[in-house]
Amino acid sequence: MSTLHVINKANALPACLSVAGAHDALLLIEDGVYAGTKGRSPSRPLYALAADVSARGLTERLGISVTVISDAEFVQLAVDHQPIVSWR
Amino acid sequence: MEIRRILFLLRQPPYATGHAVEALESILVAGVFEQQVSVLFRDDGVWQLLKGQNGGALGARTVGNVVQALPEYEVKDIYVCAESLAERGLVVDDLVLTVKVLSQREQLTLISAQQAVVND
Repeated sequence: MSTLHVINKANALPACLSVAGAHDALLLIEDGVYAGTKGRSPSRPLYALAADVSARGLTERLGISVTVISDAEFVQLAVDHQPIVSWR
Repeated sequence: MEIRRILFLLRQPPYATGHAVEALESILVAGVFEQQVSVLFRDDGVWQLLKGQNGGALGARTVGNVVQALPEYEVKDIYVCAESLAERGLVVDDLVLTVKVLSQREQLTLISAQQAVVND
């Protein structure tokens, strides 16, 4: 299984990217979603949690590499990956 | 009551903690007590000003709506840091309020004119 990286602060993303494998999943939650905005987000695919994106007014401001997912899809990502690494 | 010039520096993003809402509530209180209140949004605090927030998605108050109420509480000197906006790809049209955009030098002048500064 590949790793799921969960990033909950935007400034933690560079550290995560420096050690994440090409097939790892990266998920932005809480204040981590600010790292997914246009002009800031990296070119590699990222997931972002819908409720955190919506609350912060970022729905129309995310980079094209970012896929918004529901809480249920977050659970599925957690089931499908091991280990899960939290970055804060 | 002696009028005091108070500046609130708002530097925290909304939602992850209660910091933003608590600071905004203390500003509303200061405004009611006829203090000369100024507010400067900078660093991640500028995210509090973004249009289109929906706190309900997290069961929280929408911080942008609280910010919009500031002028109704006699808080009219509202500023934002130019560099903090630019770093985040934001422009004044993205914000819920009409705010004055300040350079670093203008912020220094604003701060030095205060009797008290609250830094959140």
